[in-house]
Amino acid sequence: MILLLVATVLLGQLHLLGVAWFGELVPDPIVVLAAITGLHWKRGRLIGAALVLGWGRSLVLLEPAGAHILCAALALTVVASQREAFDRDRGATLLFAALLAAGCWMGGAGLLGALADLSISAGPSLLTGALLALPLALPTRRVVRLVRRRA
Amino acid sequence: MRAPQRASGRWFGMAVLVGSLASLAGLAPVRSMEQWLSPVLGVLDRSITAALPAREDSLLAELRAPAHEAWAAWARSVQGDVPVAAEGWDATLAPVVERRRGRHELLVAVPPGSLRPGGAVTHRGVLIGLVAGISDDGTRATVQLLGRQDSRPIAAEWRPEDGARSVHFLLTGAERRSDVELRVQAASSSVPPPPGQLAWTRDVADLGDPIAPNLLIGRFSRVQSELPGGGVWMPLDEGPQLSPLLDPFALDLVMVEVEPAATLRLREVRTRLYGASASAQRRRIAAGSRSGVRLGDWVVQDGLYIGVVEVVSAFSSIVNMAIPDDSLFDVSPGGEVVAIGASAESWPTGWEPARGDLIAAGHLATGGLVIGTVASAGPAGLSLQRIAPDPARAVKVVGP
Repeated sequence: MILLLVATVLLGQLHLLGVAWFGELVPDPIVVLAAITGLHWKRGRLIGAALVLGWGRSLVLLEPAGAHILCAALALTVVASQREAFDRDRGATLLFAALLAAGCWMGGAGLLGALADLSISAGPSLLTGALLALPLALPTRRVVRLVRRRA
Repeated sequence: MRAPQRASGRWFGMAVLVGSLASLAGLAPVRSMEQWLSPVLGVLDRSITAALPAREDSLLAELRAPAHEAWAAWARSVQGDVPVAAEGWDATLAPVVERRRGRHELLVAVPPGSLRPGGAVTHRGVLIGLVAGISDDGTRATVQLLGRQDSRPIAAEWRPEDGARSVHFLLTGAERRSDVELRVQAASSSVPPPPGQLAWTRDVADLGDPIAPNLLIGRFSRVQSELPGGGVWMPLDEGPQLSPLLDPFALDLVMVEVEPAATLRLREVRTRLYGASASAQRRRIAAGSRSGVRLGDWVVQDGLYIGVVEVVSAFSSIVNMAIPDDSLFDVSPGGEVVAIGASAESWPTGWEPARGDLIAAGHLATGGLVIGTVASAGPAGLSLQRIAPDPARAVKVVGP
């Protein structure tokens, strides 16, 4: 959990640096983190993972943590519910899962933003962020196998 | 073993859901608690801040002087053209820190131990109320605004234009439904004031009331026209009514009577901005309640207004960069200054800010501050071109 929090915060900060230099379309890696977590995290711990992902993101973006925790919970629940439909050993799976997570995050943010009259950051950088799943698919698979073997 | 684990998981899920909803609702303790993990941001922040693109500073340098001049002129205007303090007393500028509409009161930060109950509180020569109470530490004064039913009568007068003797009366208050109004009582003449006539405080120091004379208190309401059938709108026994000249709840700065040489001490905290924790509307500063930062404090940088502290935790605070609703100055390229608010209703009739005008604000601790230039203005209000703060430079947090 602590590693997930640190990764969320550091990647979020690096994303902000990228936005400062290159604009809003710089890929946001949070959706890849959400996809990996949704595909491989134990189901019983998904709420904890959503708490960490949402809280970490809100620390960087200075928005109410509750909004991002609920968005993360939605994204993780939806991705985890499709685990059986995905072949987790295929390279494209992470991309599909990341796109699904991005869609859920954007939809959740739009809905919560409208209900609470808040502006919640969930723009196109989430969709471009899903593309990071392509180069990350192979290393992710290897790390997951390594962790499983050790467990 | 599974059943208790599942139950505790459900409780955890419920707690996360309730906490999230409380955060979404903006509950201050929850929003503050969310920032406890902000030290995690420090791991990479300084490196990222150093790698951020450099900020162009020439526009700020150009706008700083007009902003300072506009604020200085405004501060002089708030002081008024007439002496506002009683004999033997001085007057100083003081910031409004709280507005209590329900009780028709303001809370003002004042030099500690330098006030007297009953002292006049003014704005641009207009009497807005009297000091009704002083906090135990002497740093806050409760100002009872004119018009409350329980406020003490104030000796006042209006002066006919033809040089005739002025008409004396007592100004009292009346509460009608949820509103308050100024009442005229015991007038020395039954001659009705002309519509729009101004009224002032009267010199009654000889009678033991030290309130300064010649302070504006209001304008007589226009005479109501007769209704069809000969009826009049206002009951005759109520007499002429005074309308206040200012909305006291829109004021940020007032003059208070103080002992001579008393000075207001303002809090100042120097800190830095986080470079890698920001959004379009908000910034994070690396100082929190442990450093003395409080809700509502202003955050400024080299003459640039950054925003107001909206969430405070122990180690960091969140600054909302929205422009203030009131007490803004529009400074045209020709040097003309107009005091405005952010909404179109606060602008003078038939006038609106022009594209490119400087929008400035000011604080007693910093003087004039640049907010930005007008990008567009219309019935929806102001849209500004803001100057971004530089995370590589120190910022100052100021507050009463």
